[in-house]
Amino acid sequence: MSTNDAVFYRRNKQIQDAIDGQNLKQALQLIDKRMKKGEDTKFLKAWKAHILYRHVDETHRQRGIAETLDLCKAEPPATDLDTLDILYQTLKRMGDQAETMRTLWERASKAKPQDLDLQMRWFTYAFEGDDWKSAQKAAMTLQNNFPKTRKYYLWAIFLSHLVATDQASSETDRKLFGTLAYRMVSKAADSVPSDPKELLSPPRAIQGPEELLLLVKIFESQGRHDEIVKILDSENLGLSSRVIQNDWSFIGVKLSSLEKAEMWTQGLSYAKELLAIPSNEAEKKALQERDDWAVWKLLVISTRNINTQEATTETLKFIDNFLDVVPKSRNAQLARLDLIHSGVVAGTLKTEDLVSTCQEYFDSNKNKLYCFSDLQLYLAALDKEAVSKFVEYASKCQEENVKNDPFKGVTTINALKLEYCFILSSDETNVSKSQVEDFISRCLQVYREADRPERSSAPSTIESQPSDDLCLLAAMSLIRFSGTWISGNQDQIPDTILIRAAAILERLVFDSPHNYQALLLLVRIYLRLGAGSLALKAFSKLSVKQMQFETVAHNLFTRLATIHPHSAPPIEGAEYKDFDPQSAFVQALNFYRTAEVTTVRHRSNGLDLGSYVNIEGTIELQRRLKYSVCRRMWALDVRRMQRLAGGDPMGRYDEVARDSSPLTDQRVFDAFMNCEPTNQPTFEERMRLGPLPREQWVTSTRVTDQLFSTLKGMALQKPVSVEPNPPSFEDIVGSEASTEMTSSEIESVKINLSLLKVVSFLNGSKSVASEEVDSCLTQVEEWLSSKTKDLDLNGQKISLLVSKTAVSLQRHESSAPTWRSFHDLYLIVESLKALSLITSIASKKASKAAKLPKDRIQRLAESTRHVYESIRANARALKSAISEPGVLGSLIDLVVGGSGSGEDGTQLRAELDRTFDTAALEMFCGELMESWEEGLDGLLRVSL
Amino acid sequence: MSSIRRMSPTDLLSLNLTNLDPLTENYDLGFYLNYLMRWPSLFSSVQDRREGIVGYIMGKTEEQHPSMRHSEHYTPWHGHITVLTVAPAWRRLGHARRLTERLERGSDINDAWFVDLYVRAGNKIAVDMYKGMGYSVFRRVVNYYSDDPTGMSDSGEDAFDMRKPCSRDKNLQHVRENGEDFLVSPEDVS
Repeated sequence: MSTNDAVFYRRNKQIQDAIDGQNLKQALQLIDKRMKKGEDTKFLKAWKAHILYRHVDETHRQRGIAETLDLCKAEPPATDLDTLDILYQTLKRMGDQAETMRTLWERASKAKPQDLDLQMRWFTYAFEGDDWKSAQKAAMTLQNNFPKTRKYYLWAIFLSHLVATDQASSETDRKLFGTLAYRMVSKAADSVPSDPKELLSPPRAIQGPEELLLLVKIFESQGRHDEIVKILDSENLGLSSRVIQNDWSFIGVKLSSLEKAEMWTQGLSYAKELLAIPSNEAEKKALQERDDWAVWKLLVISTRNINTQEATTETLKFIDNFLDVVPKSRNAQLARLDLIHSGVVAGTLKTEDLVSTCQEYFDSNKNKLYCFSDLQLYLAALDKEAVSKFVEYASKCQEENVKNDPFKGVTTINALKLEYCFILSSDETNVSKSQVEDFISRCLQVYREADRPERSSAPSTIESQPSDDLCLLAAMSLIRFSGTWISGNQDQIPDTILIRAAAILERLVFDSPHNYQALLLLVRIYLRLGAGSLALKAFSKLSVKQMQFETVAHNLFTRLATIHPHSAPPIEGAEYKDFDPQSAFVQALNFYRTAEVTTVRHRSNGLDLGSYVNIEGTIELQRRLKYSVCRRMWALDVRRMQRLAGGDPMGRYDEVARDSSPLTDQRVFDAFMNCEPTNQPTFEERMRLGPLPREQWVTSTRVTDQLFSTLKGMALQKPVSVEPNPPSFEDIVGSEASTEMTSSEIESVKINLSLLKVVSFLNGSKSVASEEVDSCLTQVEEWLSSKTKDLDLNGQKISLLVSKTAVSLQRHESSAPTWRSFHDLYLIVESLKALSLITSIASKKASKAAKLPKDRIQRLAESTRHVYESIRANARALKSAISEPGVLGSLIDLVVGGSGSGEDGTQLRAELDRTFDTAALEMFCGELMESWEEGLDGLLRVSL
Repeated sequence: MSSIRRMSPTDLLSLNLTNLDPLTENYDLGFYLNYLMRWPSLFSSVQDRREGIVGYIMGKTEEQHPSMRHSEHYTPWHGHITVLTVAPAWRRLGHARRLTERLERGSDINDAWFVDLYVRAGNKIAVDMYKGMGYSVFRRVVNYYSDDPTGMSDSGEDAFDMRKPCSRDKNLQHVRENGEDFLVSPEDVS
């Protein structure tokens, strides 16, 4: 560093320190001092304007804006990077200045066309800031000014494509930039020499597979699928060209392009060409790669679309010939099933054809676990009688002796899954108790007989076994069908049945500790039972981390804040996130925050590496994570947990919690076993804790969050920003609200919105009139009065509210809470907390807030306290009911003997006796009771 | 009814069936993105028509740092399998073999000498599977893994560096017999 540089750095540091210390006045003085001494540079002017803009008062701010904009227009334009940086940062903070930001860099680049750093800075800022249009312009400038660097040309193509496919771009821009990308990339393709011996290709020619994939993407976005096929058939860029070297990815591209271009004749012929019967060893090996569903799919779709008897017959013959040579090909067999299925649906083929093909498929694949789900789709096209016959056929194929079966009883598993789907579930209203009991008994019997690896041999590498599915099937059928004879409603899952199902699954997890289908189902069951600590424990075995906070965590996290907001007792050797919900949510939110930085860094690296298609994918991934419904839910709920259970402040999630931009949803439930018919809700859907939260849930929870944020500000006597117009209840909760919110959540948001209006009034909002406040307070009073009644124990063991939500144990003599009990009670407590804060603020003598009638506030405070005490009384009553003598025995009886609504048959009873280990069962029941008590203790710890 | 295709960044949202398995590591997002950007053709997935992604392979091409060239253990330009996983219910259907062959072809195109991978010496199922696919043990890296799930050792578990030659290695100079007995330390291979 030269002496001049050092002095410059030191002086700048003084200014920066003043800014960092929020001493903007001093920063301005330091700049003025330097300017007066003659250092009248654009850099200092830009910095001064920036500092002015950062002032809180409007006068300084406006001066900052005006001076910044003047500097942006100045002639000659600023060209030094420091000045441009400051101007750019100020414009960025100002917002809505995209055009000015672009012009700023464009003018500077024009003035210094050979300054690579300057143009690269422009490009980087624009690209990292998702300003594709500006980045495209920067890339065009770079490729014009530095034509020898070929990557700039490709960047320009890629950025033009991004502008063209960005939903935020105008229609004109989309067309314009789309055409530009198409022309530029076509030119790059045309420049590739057709003679493979020509070693040097022009710099702007496509040179590698990633560049060709970019072309494919651009052509696809323009709907030019036939042109992709043409290019992939060409000499210079075709499949066997030097660029592609028969890379399978491009064969896949050709297959999908033929389909999208609806080139059915060519598609059929190309698929047949790929699947030609091999005549030598090399071809045989190549066929292993080509026997891919993508090829068969094109064969089937093309045949279907050609839609002639001749074509169908020929294709079926082709498949038969193929199967003669490769009889085990699952893809070929499924292609045949697909074609016959379509023929039956269209009426050109007979049902018998489909039945016999399904039977053939079953015969060849009955030892594979995929057999059931493969056949499910086709069997659904058959009538009841034909399906019953098929299931009967499959049942007869079961192994006599599963223990010595080299396929580990998979045929039996497939047969039982078919029975569950097509005999039990498809006919759920008529299914009898004895039918289900017999089914469960058979599942458990085969499970016991199946061979399993020794548990002690290598505990960490015990693989899930096929026979695990049998325990899952047993538990699932108990849950799925018991409602019919216990509550008279097959859609209502009796809570007592969940206890039995959990016991069966715990047995399975003992044998197969890593079976994630069992663990996920257990998490749901425990949550539904209100056993939050056990749900946390089961979930911890899945070691969820990183991206799984987006894709798996929702199975535990959804509504956890209103079921178990507090930390469970520590688990030995586990991390905090494994037993403390707040820690788990914080880790999840950290993942999203890190992901934002990581995605930007890697997509920038990708530009240098030329992985254009994966950069585009990363941009999409980044968008989905940024607007993820899970992220928003976790931010809102971790704050709710903190309000209810205490803990570290969660102010760092203010921004995410307030965000009202549209949501993306990546939640999938594919890791749950499902054997339901394809036209019915999945098993997982039946096991949810209320409807799946989406947009309305987030909007309404945000109202509650806003209520507490405002109250917190008021309590701290901070300036509170009041929403100009609090939304109406109908705005937040639409007519479809019950599809994503529980009735308690809807009721809760109604009350909390009223409270928000009261709070707005107290803060001097003009949009809430005193008449409206009066009506809101009346609504709150009525709500408190109804809750008082619902929660009144009135000499009984449980109140009306709890009796509606609790699970009856010991033949209805005592009860335990379920998720609904906790969910309802926590939501009430949350509103009570808000009410308590309001009454406390409103009754303060020195309060500057608008006044509410003192006696009314006092009555509200008393009612609030009364309802709160009633909740505590209910929790205490439930706790003592659980610890009553005989409960443990009753629970064990319930698991082994049934729900008390008619005894189990001897067959099932005997099977359950053989399945359960008495000591393990006692421990299971004991842990369940402890978990309920622990959950109630958590509720009792919540203060107002 | 399965298909092999390149992995895309948004596919990272669909890895539940494979990554819920405890033996499949869930890396941080940057790790996957690095592979997607650097070696996009060596990151492939197997997709089941109804079930989504049921397996994937993640690999790279590399060579040991030039400063190690003098070492007798120097690892030249080669393909490397970083992750190979198939969801439990889709195992033993040939998916691992197809995914591996695809990576081997990619390494061949990139002029690699061989494809290698590291596996726990005690993971007999995996070692046998790779042997069945033409891999052989080249060397035993002593205490490569810091933990030993079998509890046999306090100091960690050995890794087998297994290799399969590419077409470039016509004289099979980068594979050896009885590699199980050829011991090296982790520093030799880093």
